[in-house]
Parts: sequence; C-alpha cells; structure tokens
Amino acid sequence: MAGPEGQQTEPSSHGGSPTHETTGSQGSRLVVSWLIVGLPLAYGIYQTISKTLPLFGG
Amino acid sequence: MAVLAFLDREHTVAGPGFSRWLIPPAALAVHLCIGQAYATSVYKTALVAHFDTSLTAIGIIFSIAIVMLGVSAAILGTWVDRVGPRKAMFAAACFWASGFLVGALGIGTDQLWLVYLGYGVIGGIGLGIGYISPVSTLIKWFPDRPGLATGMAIMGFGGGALIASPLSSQLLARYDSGFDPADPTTVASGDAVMKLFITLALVYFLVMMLGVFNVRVPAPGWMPPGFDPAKLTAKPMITAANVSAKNAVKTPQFWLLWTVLFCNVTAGIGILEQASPMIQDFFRNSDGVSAVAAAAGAGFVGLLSIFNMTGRFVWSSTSDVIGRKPMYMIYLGVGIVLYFLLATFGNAATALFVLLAAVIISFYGGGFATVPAYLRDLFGTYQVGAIHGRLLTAWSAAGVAGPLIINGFLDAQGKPGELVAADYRLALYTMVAVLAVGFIANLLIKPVSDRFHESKDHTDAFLEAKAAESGTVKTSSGRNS
Repeated sequence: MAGPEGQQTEPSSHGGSPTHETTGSQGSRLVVSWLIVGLPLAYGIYQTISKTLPLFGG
Repeated sequence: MAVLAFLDREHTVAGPGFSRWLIPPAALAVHLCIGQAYATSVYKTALVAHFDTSLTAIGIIFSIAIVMLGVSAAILGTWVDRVGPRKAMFAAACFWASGFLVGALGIGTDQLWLVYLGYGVIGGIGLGIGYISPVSTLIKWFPDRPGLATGMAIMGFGGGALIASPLSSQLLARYDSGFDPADPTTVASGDAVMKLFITLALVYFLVMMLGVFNVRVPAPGWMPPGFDPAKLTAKPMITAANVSAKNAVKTPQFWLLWTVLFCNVTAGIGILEQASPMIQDFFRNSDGVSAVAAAAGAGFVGLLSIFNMTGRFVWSSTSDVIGRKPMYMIYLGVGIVLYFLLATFGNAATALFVLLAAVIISFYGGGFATVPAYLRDLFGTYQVGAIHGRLLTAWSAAGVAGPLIINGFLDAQGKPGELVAADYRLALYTMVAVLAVGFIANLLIKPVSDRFHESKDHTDAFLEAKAAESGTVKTSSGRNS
C-alpha cells in the first residue's frame, strides 16, 4: 500500500472544496479501514475452506 | 437537507496527500455487504417452512433482487455518475438496510409479498446502486491499474457470500436454540430469520457507512506519480476520448460486450446452478451410489466460491498487463476447451473435475471484474458508471437464461442428484456453444468510431451537471446525441 501520493495538474477547486488530510491520521485510517473489511473476509475464507476439507478426504 | 450536505460530491474531493489506497476498502465495504445476495440459500428452507409455500415461491425473492439489480443499475447509473460515489453509497446503504427491515416485517407478519417488496425490490435497488457506485471512482483513482482496482471491489461481491453464509448460520443457531446448522433435519424458525434480517440490516448499514465516509473523488487533473496517460492511450484498444452513456448504447461495441458478458455469465451459471448434485452425479457408480459424499459436494460449492472470488481479483489485475481483449479471449477461448474437457473427460478423476470447474468459475468471476476496465478502455471515464449500469442487464438476462438452459436439459434426463455424467453432456456442450458465441463477439470488438466521441470539454458528468444548474454553460451532450 502506498502512502500519500499523486500530483495535480489543475487547481482542485474546479471540482469542489478539497478535504484536507494529514499523513499521520491517514496511516491509522488506512490500517483500520483495511482491517474492517479484511478481518470479516478472512473469517469467511477460513469458514469456507473448512467446509471444503471433506472434498479432499479431510 | 443541510445535515446531508456532506454527501454532496463537492465535499468529497480529496485534498493533496490523500492516499488512494483508502478507496478500495471503501468500495469493499459496500461490495462485501451487498454480496450477501449470494448467501440466501442459508435461510431458504426456513422461509419455505415459515410461509408454508414452495421453494420456487421463495426463490422468487432472489430472482426479483437480481432483476432489480440490473434494472436499477441501468436506470440510475447516470444519476450515480452525476451525484458522486458518497451519495450513491449512502443511498445504496439505505435501500439495502431498508430492504432487510421491510423483509423482516413481512416474515414477522406472515406476508410473503412484503418480503418480495423488501428484500426483492427495495434491497434489489440497493444492490444495483451499490454495485456500480464505487466503479467509476476507482477507475479515476487508478488510471494506471483499473483492472486491479475494480477487481478488488468486485471481488468483494464474491467475498460477501463467503462471510454472510457462515455468519447467518451462526446467528440463526443463536436466535433459535432448536436449529443446528450441521444437522440438515433441523430448520430455523421464521422468528429467527426475522431477527437475522434485522441484525444484517444494522450491521450492513454500519459497514457501508465506512465506505460512505472514506470515499473521495480525485481533484480534477489528479494523476498518480509517474503515470503518463499518453503511453496508455497509445495502445490501439484504449481511447483517450469519452463517450456518453446515451451514445454508448448506440455503438456495436456496447452490444458486443453485452453479448460477451451474457455468454460468460450464462456459462458460469451452468456449473454454479447445479454444482453440488453435478459432482455427485459425475462420480455415480453402477450401483447408483456416488463416490462423492453430500458433504464433499457442499465442500465443492465452497471451493467454487473461493475461485469465483479470487478469479475476480487475479484475472482482472492480469488484464492490466495483457490487455482487456486478450483477457476475454482467454476467459472464453480457454473456457471453451475446459468446458469441453469437463463434459467429455470430467468423470475420469475427481481431481480433474474439480480443477476444470474451479478454473472455469474463476473465469466467470474474472469476466465480471474486468468488464468495467474494458468499458473504460472503449468509452473513456466520462460516464463509465452509467455505461456499466446498462451493461449489467446482461447479468440479469444471463441469470434467467443460464438456469433455463441447464435445468431444461437436465429435467429431460431426470432429477439432478440421481443422474450420471453422460446426462450432463448435452447441457455442457450447449455451454461450449454459448462460450463460442461470446468468443466471436469479443473478436469483433474494435475501437469506438470518432463520431460517438464527446467534445473535449465533456469529461466530467458531475461538473457538467453543476454548470447546467448554475446556467453557466450550455449542456451539450455530444456530437451524436
């Protein structure tokens, strides 16, 4: 995952008022956001793989 | 309402230094929730018993939801592009959660029509808006890797079922002490399903709010560091121009791609529809007993779900490297070979059958995830969400055609679960023909003619809508409108 990035070639006010983010708060926000979606997904994959074991004689 | 002003697109423009890697989890937060639509089998039997009706009557709930997905994505796609991802995701969360709550009311008051209205119609609208809401935003944030970006989000739709299925079973067991998910002779009560619906409504609404609060649109002109758009558009199948949704449906490219998606989904459904009985029937001994136990059949379905999900991410990301047209040549061309091998030699060994089916299903998932990037390549980013919405009607059509084809052939042979491998051949060879039609359609796709391109000042549907509201510029909709 990348940190803050990107370049702008035009003033951003053309599309509305840009929100301001700080690098530090974004780091923790990245971790929390990915955990909120990643943990349930890991739970689902684990549960599904457990179910597939009989297919392989488990 | 002023309190909802934070949903407006102008309040979602990212400031300098915003990490684009916050956008995929925002998209996943929506897709993981709406992916529950593929986990309805968990409580189907309970609803049949509660309403004292047929499996077909309960199956209609899911059918209405998928049809509404296609219809709402097609109709509301332009609105989604205009208002931006945050308002669209919020609307999706409201519809999806309300659908569960109205459905719960229907179960609680013994009125099946309310479940049709709730989960089917209202929830189905949430599915349609939710499915397309992050797509154009992801494409704008990842112009260098659109396949990877949309693959991550649409992988969530496949992953949503993996979460909802075991979670729903565990919640039903908690709400009804007489229900044991491991014991197929027990059935959860209607009261437990009602409580499950209320729980899912609350949980999904909260998780989808993560997407609502995290999503941002890039400022006009934003580009990732080191990205040179000229290099990308120098490739013959990637346009630098834009085509409106209204004009896109007038192009042969749209309908060829519609055919490609329709054929790819129809063929995938051919296996998914009967996966568990199919593997048992393929390995039925002469004494009528299958070498594959029912538990292993259920495990096979789970394995296909994992390949369906990972195929969305892996193949869509691969398309960024090899190109969209070659990727679909693989989905459809290699799919033809694999489907033929499955039909002809699939009963030679269980491992061979599982391997062939798993790769075929990974192509099915990949087809879904790669199509937004293919649309971007052909029609530009201007109204790619709306065009994607219109294209998803192919999914709804395949959702009807796929089961009709496979069940039509199998019904003539007997009952799935009591058949043998040879009984499936005609149905599977038909799917080979369906894939061949899709392969030809993909081969015929060429860059869109210049006459459908928008003029250079039409690149952002939202900015145009705002300008039209304030009356500052004329609202032309392209050269060919």
